[in-house]
Amino acid sequence: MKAVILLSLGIDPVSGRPAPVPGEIRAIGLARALGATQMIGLHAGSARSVLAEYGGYGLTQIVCLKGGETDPVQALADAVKGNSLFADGAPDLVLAASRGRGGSDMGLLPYQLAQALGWPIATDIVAPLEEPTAVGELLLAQSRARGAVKPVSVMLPCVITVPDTARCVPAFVFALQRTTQMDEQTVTVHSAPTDEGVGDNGMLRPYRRRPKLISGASKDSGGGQLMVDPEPHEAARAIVTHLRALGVLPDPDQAPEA
Amino acid sequence: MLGRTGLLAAGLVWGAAGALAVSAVPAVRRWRKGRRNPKDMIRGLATVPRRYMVDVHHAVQRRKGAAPMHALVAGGTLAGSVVLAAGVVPALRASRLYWSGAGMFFLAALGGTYLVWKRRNPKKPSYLSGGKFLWLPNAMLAWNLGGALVALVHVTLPEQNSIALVPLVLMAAGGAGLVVQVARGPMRHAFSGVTWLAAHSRPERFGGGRSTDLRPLDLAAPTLGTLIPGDFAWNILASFDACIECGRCEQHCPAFAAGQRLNPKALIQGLALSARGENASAYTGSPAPNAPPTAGQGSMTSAIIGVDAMIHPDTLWACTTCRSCVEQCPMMIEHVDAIVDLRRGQTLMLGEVRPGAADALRRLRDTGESGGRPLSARADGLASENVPVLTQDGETDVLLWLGDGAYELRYARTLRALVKLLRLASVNFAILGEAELDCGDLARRLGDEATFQDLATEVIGTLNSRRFHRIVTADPHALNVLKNEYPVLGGKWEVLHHTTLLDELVSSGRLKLDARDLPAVAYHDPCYLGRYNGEFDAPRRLLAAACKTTVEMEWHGRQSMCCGGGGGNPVSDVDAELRIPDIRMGQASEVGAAIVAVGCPGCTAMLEGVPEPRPEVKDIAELVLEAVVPA
Amino acid sequence: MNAIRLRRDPRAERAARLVPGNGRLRYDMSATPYERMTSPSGRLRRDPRAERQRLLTTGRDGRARLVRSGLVGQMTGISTASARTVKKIRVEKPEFFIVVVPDLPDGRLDRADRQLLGAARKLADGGEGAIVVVGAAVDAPSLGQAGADRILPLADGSDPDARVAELVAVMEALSPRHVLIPESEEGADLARRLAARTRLGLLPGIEVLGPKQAIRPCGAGRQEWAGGLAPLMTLAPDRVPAWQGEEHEILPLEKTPVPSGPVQARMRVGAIRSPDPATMNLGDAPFVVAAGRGVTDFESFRATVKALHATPGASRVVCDNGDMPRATQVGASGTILDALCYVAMGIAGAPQHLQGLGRVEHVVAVNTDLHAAMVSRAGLAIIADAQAVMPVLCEILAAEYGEKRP
Repeated sequence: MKAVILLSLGIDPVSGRPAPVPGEIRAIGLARALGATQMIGLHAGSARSVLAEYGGYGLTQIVCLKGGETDPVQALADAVKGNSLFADGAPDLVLAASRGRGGSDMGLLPYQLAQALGWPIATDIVAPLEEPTAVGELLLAQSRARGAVKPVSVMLPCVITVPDTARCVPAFVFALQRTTQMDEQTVTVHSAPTDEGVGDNGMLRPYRRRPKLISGASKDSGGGQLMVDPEPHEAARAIVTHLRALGVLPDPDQAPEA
Repeated sequence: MLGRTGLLAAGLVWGAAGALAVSAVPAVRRWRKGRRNPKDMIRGLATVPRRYMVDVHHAVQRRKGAAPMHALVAGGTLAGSVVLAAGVVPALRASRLYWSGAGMFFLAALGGTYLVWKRRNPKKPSYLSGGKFLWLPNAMLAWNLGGALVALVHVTLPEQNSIALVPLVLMAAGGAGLVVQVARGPMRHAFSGVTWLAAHSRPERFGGGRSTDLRPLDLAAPTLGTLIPGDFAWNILASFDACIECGRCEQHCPAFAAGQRLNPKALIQGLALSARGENASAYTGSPAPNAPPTAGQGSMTSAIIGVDAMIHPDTLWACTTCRSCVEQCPMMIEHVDAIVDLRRGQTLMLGEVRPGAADALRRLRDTGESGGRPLSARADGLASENVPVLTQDGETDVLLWLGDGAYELRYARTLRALVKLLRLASVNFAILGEAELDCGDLARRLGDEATFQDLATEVIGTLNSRRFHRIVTADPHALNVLKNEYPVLGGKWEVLHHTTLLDELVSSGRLKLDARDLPAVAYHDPCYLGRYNGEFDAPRRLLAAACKTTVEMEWHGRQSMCCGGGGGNPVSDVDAELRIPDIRMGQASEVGAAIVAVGCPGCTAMLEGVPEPRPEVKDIAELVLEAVVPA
Repeated sequence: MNAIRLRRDPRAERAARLVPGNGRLRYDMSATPYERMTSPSGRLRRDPRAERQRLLTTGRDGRARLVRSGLVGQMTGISTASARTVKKIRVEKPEFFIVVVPDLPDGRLDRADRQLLGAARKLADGGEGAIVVVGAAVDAPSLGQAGADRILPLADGSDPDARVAELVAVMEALSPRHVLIPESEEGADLARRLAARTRLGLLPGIEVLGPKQAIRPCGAGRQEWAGGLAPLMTLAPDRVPAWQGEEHEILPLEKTPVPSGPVQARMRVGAIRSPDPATMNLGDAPFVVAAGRGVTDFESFRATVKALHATPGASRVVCDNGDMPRATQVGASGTILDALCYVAMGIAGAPQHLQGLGRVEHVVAVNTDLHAAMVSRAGLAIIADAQAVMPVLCEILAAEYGEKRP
């Protein structure tokens, strides 16, 4: 299987220094877990040194589409469809981070690329599911809150996005980074048609932290109920009642969880 | 043949010497498969007697009875044999004085042989190895007893010296045994040891010097660090063969004591066995505690680390780089260098680091801080003290390097105490503020030389753009990197530990202390201050001036035991039976200490992590501040 | 010299003596402002639990609030007393539509859905707009209370692309001014699919929403974008309050969308699979029961964890002793939790351990030490021997659930 990993110029949220995007690092790991035999990193824009760090995570080849930043979706779609990336045919998979880090961070580009390619897109994928599936289909685990997963079966070729929480982090190998080949190709794209409705009417400014709403049921940080030296039975009863009130223990008459 | 036994004896010695010389050839050939590392062997060999009699002797004599044993058995055997060898001169053979001299030497060697035998009998201590060691005294006995009897015959019955043929046979058997011990057994240590002492990788250590800095790696080299024995320099390969398995490293290793899958002796032996292509079963000492089994087979060109190789990966990450083993080793073997070389291979070439360490290294690469915390938050704990930040335009006397301990509430308390003291002594000081990055200590000890060099380059650039007279830090790890490891990369400044500066302020009268009547205080030497930087006295002087009752733990000073916080150990998810800081606190309680004085954020965090009841942990700066008399 | 000098803060002491009441300031002068506690080395220890308790009150919207100004009594509920009007608001001739696509987990509006409707109300009430809720059938009264004006039922499919096609049909029929979707797992995906499909502008993860302006974070959360509204918007959780006004009446929708043709099925999303609590990743576990030094019988502990259907955790000391595997260690050097509820059995709560509680919402502590840090962090603190409580807890659970639970 041949996989293309979309790479972007990320920054670290805390320090603001250039850093690889966590989801993109994990996309490399997921591609490997899905059995990709060939992998190419693809970046819409000029080659930058921060991209080389992805090499340490296992990308031996990175292609940068110089001039593609004006319409990344078209530039990337052309590159993926153009069959010029791999010697032996079109890629089967395009993997991307669920969210970028450092740009608009909308997470929209993979969807637009899937739309442009006419491919299905499976999102928030953390691992392959080891279950039988039809030929030409992938069975994937979609990450959901609190460790739950949803099985997603998707036809190949497809776009897959990987969240920051996936555990498929490949090892960083400095020796690999040294040998990574970074190619820059100049591409011409027509200027992007701006999405209807969002003009350049906005402005960027430093983030202002605003308080979130707190609910009555949210985080207790002390000041709760206190029982000093109760009888064990009384204590156990209080725990059960409390846990039921929080909803972590079902009522006794309710059907039990599987 | 009659009357010629004297010449025969001399011939026997020459023959044995020849056999020994031949037996060295395979060893030399093997070492030459290691990395090239030209050494001036003539000059090196010339220094060996002094290095042996002074430096090696200092280390040997720390174990009771070891020095006399060596003097008797090695000195006696060598001297007796040399005298016998001189017997090729006919005039000597005719002299009774000559024979009685030889006899005396062999008698001394016999005494030594008894001491050698006694070490493992009636019961072999756990730190010593068995195997070929068990019949070594027999070979020594045969050679030396034979030699003594030959001499006796020549002294007492020179006319009927053919009787000496019997002890000569005994001597020949012993000689054969000794040749086997040197060629294929642990006594290869004799020849390898001389070679290693002559071609040591840190010659600065001899004559009481110190050399503890890790050496920079050429990041463009085809192989980074060590994967196979052939990646080690030839003299390092010789150093592994120089190990005589005395077990001093094992007795002092904090990781071994805590059951952390590392035994420095087993590690060095594993490396030596790998290079020789022997099986792990040839090692007869205690293994690395709880280490899972490996294939136990190696060669000069196959991987050292791995479940299917010689040494289990867990062993590598259990080391705290405290240098206790290096300090103890009578053969001056550089265990920590070997471990860091192996870690470099694992990290840089294979990316095989522990998950916790991989996360820390990723954060260091991406944020310049091992915890991924904002650089602007480092000085938050000092907010109440209003410490000035040194800009490119400013100037200060003392630049205070905070280190990553500053992020912790507990250590910020220490730093506040230090800042208050500096104010009381009217020291002009400042911090770097947001411009302070991680110094790279953690990355380097974990073998990530690439990240270390990136960080170091940036830090050196920052520091070179600021005007100050000296750097003071309360973090000995940062001290070590800034003071010892940055100079070769282009950063040279005067760097002091805060205890050194405080000691200077107290002795110059700028701070006046009134010793307080506290319960007994014991000082815990941080490895990176003591063993790495030789600062043992300043903290003790300060402590004596600040507290009335001080006690010493059994292991202190150069022999101090690590807190378990160094070498990336805390981020490497190390499996253990006990925790190193628990053991250390136990040692403090044993001598009745109610307070343990520390001088390192790592030690503070590790020792305070010990469950109560335990002695209280206080930084020296805190104790000094409490004892300050307002001027 | 003593480095710590005690300083009185008369203002804080006064505030600490304040008695919560309805509207009038009352002080209990007999109350001690602080229980002074000292560590062995003589450092003062705060009692954050007691301090917080003193500041806690209930706001007019019924939510818990911390009042640090000292005026506790003046902030308490007023709205509860006001009489409820029976008349519902009707939006009969809307000028425009706002389409809201809530998540409706288990077929009910959740917190984020209600906030979404609150945000939609802000936009709709800027003019004469009507809110159309598109989703599975929900009972009209609860939707009306949340601020909705119309309901448009939607088929529930396993293919997200089919869902998008249905929404496209709805948008073609209604030409809504805005479509609002929660920035939740499902909502985020849906909104982006919709944006890619329709090429309409999308503003995801909005944190501040007004009639004219939206603000959303970008640039790795170090920057924010502020600008005009977009046709498609998703709302970050807990940013815009739910609708607190009068109930709206659900009226029939004026237009009905033309059902879209069948979509070529290229992917299927199956039913959610919950992990086994006993073996799941500790960092993801919703309910963790952990043992500390106060637990000596680990058979009993394991039985309790199993009976509670929870994920086992442990303190560092317990892992060091080998009583629980290293993977169960909670804390700075172990796993950082993201649980809904954490039950600490015999854990005092060293700072390193408390760091591991990260985003845990509710803590139950069973501990013999009243002054343990864990007790002050807990919503339910029981000062008792965990060893004695655990078997009784098992008995109660066994009696109530019998064979029904594994």
